[in-house]
Amino acid sequence: MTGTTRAIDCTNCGAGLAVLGGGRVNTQVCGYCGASLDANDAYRVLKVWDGMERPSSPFGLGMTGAIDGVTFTVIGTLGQREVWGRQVWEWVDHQLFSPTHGYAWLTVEDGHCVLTRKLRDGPMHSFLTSAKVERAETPPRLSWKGTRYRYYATTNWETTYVEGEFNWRPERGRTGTTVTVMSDDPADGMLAFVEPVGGAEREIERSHLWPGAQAAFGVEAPVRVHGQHPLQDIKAAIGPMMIAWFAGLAVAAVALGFVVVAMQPDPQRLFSGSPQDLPPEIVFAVSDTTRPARVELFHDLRNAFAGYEVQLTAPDGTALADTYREISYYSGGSGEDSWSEGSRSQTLNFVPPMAGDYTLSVASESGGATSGAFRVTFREGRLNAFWLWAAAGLFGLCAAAIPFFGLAKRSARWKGSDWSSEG
Amino acid sequence: MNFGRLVIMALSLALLGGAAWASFTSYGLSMSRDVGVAAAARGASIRSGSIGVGGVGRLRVK
Repeated sequence: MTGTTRAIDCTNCGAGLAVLGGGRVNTQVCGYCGASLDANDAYRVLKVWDGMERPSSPFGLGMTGAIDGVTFTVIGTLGQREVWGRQVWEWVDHQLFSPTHGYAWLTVEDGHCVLTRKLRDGPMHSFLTSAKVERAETPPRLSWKGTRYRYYATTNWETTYVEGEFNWRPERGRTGTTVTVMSDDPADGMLAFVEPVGGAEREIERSHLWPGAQAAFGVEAPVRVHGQHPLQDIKAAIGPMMIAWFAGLAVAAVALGFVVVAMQPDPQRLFSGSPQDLPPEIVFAVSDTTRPARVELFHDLRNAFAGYEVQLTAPDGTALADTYREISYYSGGSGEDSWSEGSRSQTLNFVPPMAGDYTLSVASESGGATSGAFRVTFREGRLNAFWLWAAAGLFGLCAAAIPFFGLAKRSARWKGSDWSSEG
Repeated sequence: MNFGRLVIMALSLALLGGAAWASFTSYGLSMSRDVGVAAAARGASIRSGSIGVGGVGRLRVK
């Protein structure tokens, strides 16, 4: 804290003006008459800007606030504007002063507050100008202190309002260009290459979001934040806990799927041999009438077909099937040109109406292949693990998608970049 | 814990329960149209009508 506050009278209009800004202040602009006064020459009037309209800001001259234990005082206000086509962006830069840490900037745009400090050890050797950006075919990149920064935007600013004290000489109507770069980590902040028009000193600044600025300065009616700021660290709303939840559900679904598979009864082999050796009747026992059963005919055919008349009779003599199954399998080619069609097996799927001994008759039709191994199997009490596999896949996708969309949200920090690959 | 997250957790748990129920009750397993008491009772018209139906085997028209 400065301890004491001095005051002067405006040498143009006589209004009382507080002197807050320390020994490096060289310009004081009267908020009443718009006179720019030379602080190093008995507050001599340099210029007078009539009719300036004070921009809206929750911060005012003389307000104090602390960040990281350092107390800053608002000593100056600049209204800034950028016009591009029909779009107009307006923001307010407040110059801050700390007796122990010097000068800084507090920028307010759309309710977002940003603290900016001048870098004395910035990457001046790779100063990024708008001309360099325009010549670049890919977004310009640079490294500073081990961090990779990428081009974000170019701002062509114009000062529309000036009030208070400054450690430099601001002017209404002054223009310049600021090129900004960011890393992928919001904690690295934003580097700004500031190049005023007219040959004034070029500067490199570093900015960090200061969400608590309004509270720190005791703003009574805080301005609401609108939109997203590129320095915001946006995290996924659904975080690690939900990843663990969905991963846990996926594991549970897989475990249940294996339980279902383990509960599947083994198939009974009813016949195995040559089709010519098929007995007239095959009798097999059925005990589960609650779940589907399957009779499967398998014929190890190669580029051949075979037809079978199939009759199935229930224990009480009721005919369940008097039908036909054709098995055909053809293949050819090699490598990428290999092909195949047909299947070596056919099935009869049904829910047994009663328990007991069923009779199956499988007769090979003349004209079909008779070589190759042939077998008939029966499986009852079939379960369907498909739904659990599907659920496991869905839960796994959800678990994987959460970090993916989190990254996507973080990459959305760059959505305001003005880089165009066509440029 | 917010309400939306609870809803998502409840729905996903219900989905797991539904998948387990469907799997243990054999829901969705295909049935042959030409096998079973009802199919046999419908007789040859079903058999001829089923010719070429995929997955049930080609039926011979007598």
